[in-house]
Amino acid sequence: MKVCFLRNRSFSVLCVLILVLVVFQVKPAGGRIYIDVNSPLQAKIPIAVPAFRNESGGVANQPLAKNMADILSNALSFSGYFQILNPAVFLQDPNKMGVEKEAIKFSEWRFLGADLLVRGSYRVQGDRFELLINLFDVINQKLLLSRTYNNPLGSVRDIILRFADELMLELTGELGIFHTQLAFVGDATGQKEIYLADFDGSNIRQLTNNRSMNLSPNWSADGKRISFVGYKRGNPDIYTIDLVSKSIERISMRPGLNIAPAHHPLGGKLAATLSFTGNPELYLLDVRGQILKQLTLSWAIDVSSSWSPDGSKLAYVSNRAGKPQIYVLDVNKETTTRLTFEGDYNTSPAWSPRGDRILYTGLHDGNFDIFMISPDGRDLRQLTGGEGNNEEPCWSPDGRLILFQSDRQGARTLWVMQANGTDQRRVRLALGGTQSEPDWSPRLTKAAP
Amino acid sequence: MQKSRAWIFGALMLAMLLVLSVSCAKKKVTMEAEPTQEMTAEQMEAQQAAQEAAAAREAQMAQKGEAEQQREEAAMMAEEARKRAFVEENIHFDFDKYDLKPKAMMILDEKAAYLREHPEVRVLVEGHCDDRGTNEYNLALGDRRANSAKNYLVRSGVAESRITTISYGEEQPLCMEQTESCWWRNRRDQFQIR
Repeated sequence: MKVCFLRNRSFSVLCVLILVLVVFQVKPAGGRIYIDVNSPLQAKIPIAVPAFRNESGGVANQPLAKNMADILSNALSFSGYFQILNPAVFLQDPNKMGVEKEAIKFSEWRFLGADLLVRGSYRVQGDRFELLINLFDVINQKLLLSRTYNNPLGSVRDIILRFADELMLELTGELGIFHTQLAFVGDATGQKEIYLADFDGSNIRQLTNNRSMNLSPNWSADGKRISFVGYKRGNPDIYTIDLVSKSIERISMRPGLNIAPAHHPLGGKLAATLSFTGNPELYLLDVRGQILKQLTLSWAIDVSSSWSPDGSKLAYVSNRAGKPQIYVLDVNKETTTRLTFEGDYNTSPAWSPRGDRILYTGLHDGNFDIFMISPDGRDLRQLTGGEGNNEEPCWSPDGRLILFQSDRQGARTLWVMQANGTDQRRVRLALGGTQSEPDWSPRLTKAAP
Repeated sequence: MQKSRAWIFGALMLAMLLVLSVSCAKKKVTMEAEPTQEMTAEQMEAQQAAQEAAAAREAQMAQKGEAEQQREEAAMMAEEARKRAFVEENIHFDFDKYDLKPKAMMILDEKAAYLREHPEVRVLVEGHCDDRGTNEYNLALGDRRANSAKNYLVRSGVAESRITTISYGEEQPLCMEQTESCWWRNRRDQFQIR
């Protein structure tokens, strides 16, 4: 199917025509519409990322040429927007190929099927490297983006990912997700602890180490803190860890449940489920854990909330009708509407960053799978099926990818898919045991201007 | 479950039998006569009678000591058995439910009786779920399951201050198989004496 798209030149030409019309005639705010991020069904764009050109001379620095191209290729591939062309089919030795527009043989790249081309060259000097990266529109033979960097050698990955973020900004009008992190629960040590990894599962760090049970990590909107549920003191309490100072504060320790923290998208407060009254209800807390407002009052369970991006509404789980279903609470108007009616068991809602979709986990034919619905209750779609249990979905900050847990290969592990349910793949985590309850950070650093 | 209950019943019966036999063996003991330097035949006779009485009392005492010890041991064992049953006997729930089934109420009746007889005992009720469904929802479900038992015990005359609850959701399963019998074992309240 994808191959068909790639080989369908008339389709590409049509796309380009539309692009030309949009970019040069209409000139909307932002101006960059190479990739429509609102359309998860858009075909992947074929991009060539040949090895970078080593201009330092000497073989010692040669491995960087492939490393840099690999870091960029893997990141772009992970984003779900691109089809990375196989370097084995390239017609020239990348180290002999020029980097400037005049040196690019666009017809050859068109022949190979590339719509976009990234060319980089670098020079190592002492413990620093100078880097030039150009992004070309192959079809229009146009330089789209050119960046130079001069940084310590230790920051190669960070710099390449910075370029990748800018590439996404150029093509979509929105930064990439390459400076984001995944928080999740892992039990590789025999106890459930909170872990962090980079967006692609690399660079794993264990965040808690208290040999008790730690659950439900949730990022603050500024990406500086993570709240989670810990049993360290013998009761499920909510803790917040400051990722800069590494200090951990216990913010809610009322009798009974203190669970399901959900930071407000505008910061300063969080929703959580507390059961000190004897029944699990949703509350709005300040970041110190003081109750600002009680959000639900029913005889039933109210839990697992997810904010709309503007912070005015809350999707959550309630079994007030006898079975767990998703409800939407308008926090200001204090009105509640039931969102899901299909199935007897729907939980763990996740509101999309754009606000137009809500993911949830539903029990269907004896298995748990991920479903997507509009906040008005329309357009219900099943995204996973027939492959084990798939649960706890969350969104990438650009709304293009969905991260979730699946037991399709036995133990629960983390998986990612496109927002339309395609391209389901396991996140590569060099970690034993199980991984569960993922939460995707907001963008953590802005790319350099 | 059935086995341990039968064992408790046996231990209780044994304890009751021993208590009965000891109370039958108890007899009033006669006072010992004062011995004198010079004894008449009558005195000799009396002394002999006294010695015999003492010996009899000693034998009786020995018999009573042994019985008492046995009685205490049996009582202790019965007590231990009740305590163990209190801790080991879980109550179970249907999937996604926290209402008490008739069998669960019978078990809770026994636990309430135990708690009424042992006012010094404090109890921790743990609510658990099977591993199907969402972890957070299961934490809430476990909380409701623990509170179902707590509320029943309170209604059965146990002071609320003696009962604390905790939910472990699906995090502490007793078994890992994906079968209904294993799921049933995991959907439970457990009881700890604190």
